[in-house]
Amino acid sequence: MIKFAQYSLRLALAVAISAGVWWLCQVSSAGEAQSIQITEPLPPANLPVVEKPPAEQPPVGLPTDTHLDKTPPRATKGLDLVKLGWTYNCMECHKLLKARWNYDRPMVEHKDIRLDHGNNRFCLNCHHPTNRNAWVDYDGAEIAQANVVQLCAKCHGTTYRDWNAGVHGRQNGHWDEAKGDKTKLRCIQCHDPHSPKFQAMKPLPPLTYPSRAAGADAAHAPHIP
Amino acid sequence: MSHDPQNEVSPKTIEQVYRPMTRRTFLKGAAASMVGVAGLMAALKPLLELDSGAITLDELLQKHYRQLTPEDLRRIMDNLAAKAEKEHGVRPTLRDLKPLDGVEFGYALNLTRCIGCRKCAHACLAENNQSRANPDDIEMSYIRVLELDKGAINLETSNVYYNPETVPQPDKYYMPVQCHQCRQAPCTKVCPVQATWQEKDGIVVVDYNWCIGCRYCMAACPYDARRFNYQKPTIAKEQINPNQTYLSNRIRPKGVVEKCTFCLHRTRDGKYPACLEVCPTGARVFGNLLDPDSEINYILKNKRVYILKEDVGTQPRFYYFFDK
Repeated sequence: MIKFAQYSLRLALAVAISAGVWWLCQVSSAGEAQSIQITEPLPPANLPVVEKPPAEQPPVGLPTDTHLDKTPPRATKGLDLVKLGWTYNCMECHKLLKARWNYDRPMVEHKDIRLDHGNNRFCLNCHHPTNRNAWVDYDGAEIAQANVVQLCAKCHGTTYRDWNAGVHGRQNGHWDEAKGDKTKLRCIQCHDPHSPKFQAMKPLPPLTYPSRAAGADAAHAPHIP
Repeated sequence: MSHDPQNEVSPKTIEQVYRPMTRRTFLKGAAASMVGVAGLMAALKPLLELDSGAITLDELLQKHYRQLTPEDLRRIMDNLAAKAEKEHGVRPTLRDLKPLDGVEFGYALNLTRCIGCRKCAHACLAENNQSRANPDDIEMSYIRVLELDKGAINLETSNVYYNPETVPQPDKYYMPVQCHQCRQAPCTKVCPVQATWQEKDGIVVVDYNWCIGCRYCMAACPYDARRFNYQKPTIAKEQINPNQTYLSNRIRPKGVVEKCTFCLHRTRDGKYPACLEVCPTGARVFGNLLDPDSEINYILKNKRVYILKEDVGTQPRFYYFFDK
């Protein structure tokens, strides 16, 4: 009898312990599930936030380099608004005109644009389909207009690497940054994004060599300008 | 007494022994002494100039740049600035910039990017006060842009005087050549008066007040990097760059050799050289070779670098590289 009582006591103990373990397991797994729910789907904080009005271009380059900036003035102000008849806020028109991947007719607007960018033949490879004041990233996210370098880096990775190292592209100012600013031009300040090949130019006049020094034959030859 | 032919003295021998003054020897001697006097006059010409005020006693007795005390140098530079103001109408701010510690300059040029627009060569003129107002002047820019045929690096068929409507031409490429600031600089070794030497930061400079104008250095340079002032430099007043240093771009006297100094009046101030500032394609890269993170070291580590005339053993600090 005593033996049976002892046995049943042990059994009850075992049951109680296993029940306790099961309960603990339940509680801990519930806790895990809870923590996963907390860390899960918050959007990454580093996604570019693009405002709908055109982004201001940050000042880049020396004041004497402004002629190099091929980017149009991003905000039309004052009298220019009347003169041009439009602002550079693309969304004023494009909120009505939906974007398409391809056009089977020649463009009747933006006639000044001739896309000559190699294999990159589609507007929406760079321009954002729903916000024309921004660029489009791989995943459809928006890249701010001022971050155009990030856009070009989508394809031109090695060039972007060299640009970061200060080897590609034009730098001005001070090589010793302790003594003054070093400015870097961004991609579209030298390359027209729609036709990025560097344009040919007229060379400055060649070295002159005085006709007198070239000998008697050349004495009456016209002077090299 | 018997006749001994050995005792006979021929008239010819007498003439040889006594050498009487003939017309010919007199003229020879006179010509030789005239040359001597002319040489002496030429040697004493500075004294005549001193008398007329063309040079001062200070300039005549000036020591070599490296032996000057700072006070002496200051005084000499004040005199030079005053002289420049008198002759050219602009008073320059003449300084003496010493090499920076821990800095050795290096230059790299991207041959793939250079389009041969010659903006660098003309910026060099604007920066370094070379002689150019007289149309008879030889072009004094320190940079010569060579136009080469694609397919080889053949300097012998290159062309400096190219002038097409647009550059780059499809079958050509362009190579600007300037002083390579060699580690084993032949120009400094041949100078008979040590008027040109290499500074601590690698720049080969000329003391224009010490140079005697023999042009040995020009003959020694494999890169044609040196220019000679055959005549007194001419430069329009409004083209003078007043930011000058003693060793770089101050207006030179007649009869001295000058050369590219990597614009040391800019670069020792931390700025980029003038030729780099204007390059429209960003083909030029300048920096400190001793700084492992500098752009120039990035090129030396990662790019395909070409050294012009590497076989002559000058070990330049100017590198060409190829890169899209």
